[in-house]
Amino acid sequence: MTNANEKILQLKNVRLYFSSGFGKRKVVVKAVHNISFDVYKGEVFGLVGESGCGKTTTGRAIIKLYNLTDGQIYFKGKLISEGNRGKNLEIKRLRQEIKEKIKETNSQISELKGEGVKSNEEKLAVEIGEAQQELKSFIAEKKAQISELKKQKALAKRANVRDPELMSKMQMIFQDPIDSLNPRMTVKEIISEGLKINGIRDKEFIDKEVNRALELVGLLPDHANRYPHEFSGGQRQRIGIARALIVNPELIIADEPISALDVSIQAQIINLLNDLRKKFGLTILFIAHNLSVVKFFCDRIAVMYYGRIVEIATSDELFKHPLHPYTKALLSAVPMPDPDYEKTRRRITYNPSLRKFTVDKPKMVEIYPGHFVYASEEEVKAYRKELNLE
Amino acid sequence: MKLPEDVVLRVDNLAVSFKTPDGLVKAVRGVSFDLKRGETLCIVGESGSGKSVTSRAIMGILAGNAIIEGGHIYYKDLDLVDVKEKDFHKIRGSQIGMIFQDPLSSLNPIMKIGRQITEALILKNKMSRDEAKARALELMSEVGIPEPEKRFYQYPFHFSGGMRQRIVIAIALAMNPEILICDEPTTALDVTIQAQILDLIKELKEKRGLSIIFITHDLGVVANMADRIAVMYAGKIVEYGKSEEIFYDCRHPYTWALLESMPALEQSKGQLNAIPGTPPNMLFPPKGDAFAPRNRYAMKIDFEEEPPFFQVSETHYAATWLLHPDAPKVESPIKGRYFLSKGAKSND
Repeated sequence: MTNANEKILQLKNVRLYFSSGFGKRKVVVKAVHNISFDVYKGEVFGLVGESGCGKTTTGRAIIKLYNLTDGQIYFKGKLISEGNRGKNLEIKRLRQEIKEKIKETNSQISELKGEGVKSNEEKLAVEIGEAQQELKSFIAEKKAQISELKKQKALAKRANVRDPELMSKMQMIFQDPIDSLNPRMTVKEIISEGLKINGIRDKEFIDKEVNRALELVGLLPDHANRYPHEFSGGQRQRIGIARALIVNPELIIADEPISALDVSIQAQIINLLNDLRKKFGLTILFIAHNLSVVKFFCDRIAVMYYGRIVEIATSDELFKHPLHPYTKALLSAVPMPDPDYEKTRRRITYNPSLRKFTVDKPKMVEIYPGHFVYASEEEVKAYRKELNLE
Repeated sequence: MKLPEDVVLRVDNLAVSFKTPDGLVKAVRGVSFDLKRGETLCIVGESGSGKSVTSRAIMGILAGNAIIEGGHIYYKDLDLVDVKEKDFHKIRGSQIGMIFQDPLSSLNPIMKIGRQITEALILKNKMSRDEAKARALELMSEVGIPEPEKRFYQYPFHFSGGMRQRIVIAIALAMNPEILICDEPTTALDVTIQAQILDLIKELKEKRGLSIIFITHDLGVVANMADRIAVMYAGKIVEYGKSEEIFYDCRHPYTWALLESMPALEQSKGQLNAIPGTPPNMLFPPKGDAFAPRNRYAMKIDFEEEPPFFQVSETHYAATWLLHPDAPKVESPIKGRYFLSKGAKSND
């Protein structure tokens, strides 16, 4: 099913910061902090973590609801958004360097002039000229670098412009089936909006497509003229899925599509997504916090903690050999419908302050083919040992 | 009516309806259960099955358009259905406490935490401010809030979701209630926080000898908390029994379907056994067994006549015609389907 060679979505060092206030009161929230992952065509990629860890922000950044602070996102091999924080910092640093160099040269020249009283004037002029020449070439070099970065920034600006044709291949399903549907629009208007935005005016075609989408998600064509409030939660979520499907997307970002639904309805929606995925070869980025559903539905899972991805692995691998202490804590907290298991369950708590990274900086390490973990070198050694023992 | 020694609360054939412009919504249609001293009774069901309405009827906090159509709620020597509002406040809070789902909306955002905890102590127990504060600090450290002295003067927005729920629990426990009703206390929380809150409730139950009615739709949470379980569907209890009996030997098709629709951890990819259709509209409660239209084992009689409770064991009852001696034998789809621990055991 999954095509390991074709990356449909690539995130490279993505950062997303939100800032509020000015001056001393300025607060920067690092919602997403340097994450990178690839999603292959045809797979279901799960993104789990507690609320506030940045998983929804990541999903929204991919579909360009937010502008990136830094990093790049590629969709179907094309750069779709890029942040400039890194470049801005680099430009700032280069300008600072130039300033310092000028200061340095000036003090050097004035020193030479002070000494120049003793030595002859010709030699002095040559030395000053040399220093100035050096400064000039230094500035020219740095200025070239800056202009190169500025060029890149301009390119990023162009990449950030929305390409409607490409972006319609990416759709989103939202968490709350009540809030995400406009109560004053009929189901037909809601579902056909995507087509209308893409410039399709043919009424017959729209009707046909709406009916097709409704049938795909298990609703009836005569539901089209009703309003969202006439439907139950599960049916509303189906409308949301139909709205995403109408433009024939290749990637669907499902942001907690089942957490607002009842247990008995959750299974229906999961089955529906599974069917659709097989039928159209869809790729799904599944954002959720219910781990048993994620394990069942996803091929690969990324665990997020405070804006960082701490572990990526296939779902079986992650549940069999969780490595990062946060993943372990998360897995140990999942309640299971089994009283015997619950009685003997041991909960692991995660205390990030126990891990000190002042010397040994952690980074993403591939510890096992396809199993990445965010760890320092010392920890990697421990993890390797842990895996070998089993 | 005199309650047996080990029963703290008895709900007998309770029926609650809501008056709406469309007609009477029959939310609860004859619910009976006993809450035993020191046990945790879990009520499981989908939204709209009447589990919250039952608990609100016990607390006497039903919405204005609610009508208690029949039944009794016995507590001590009282029938709570007949207790007048001006007398109810002696029971509510001080003898039966309640924790709600959303910790943010059950706290007053513009009142300091300390005042919210001490409010009832000062008003009802006639404590002085200093006494009340000392008691509140004690409670706050009991529910695991670090630095209670400092936290006492903070507002709800200073607290995280889990901490807020701890505050709500502290408020509920301030008056030393005998019964605690928890209405989905962890639904709004993360799994890791949820586990902490569940542990806290269990610990407090042991320490104070509380009897708990725990309402939830998460079967995992039920397995963690319950001594006994009542499964509700469309305003009725369809099956009740001890925790092990419900999870390993349930008899009602709805309970089967609920357990089946959750993916077991070892389950490989494929289809989930979803329950088809949607819950019935309680404006027009269906004739016969309410679950029949969604039930693949439904028989003709399920659509015509309501099943009575059949006894499975001394503590285990289920309302399904499948248990009638004349019914065809149906193998439980849950049998042989093990969740974590048993699956792991069989692998060894």
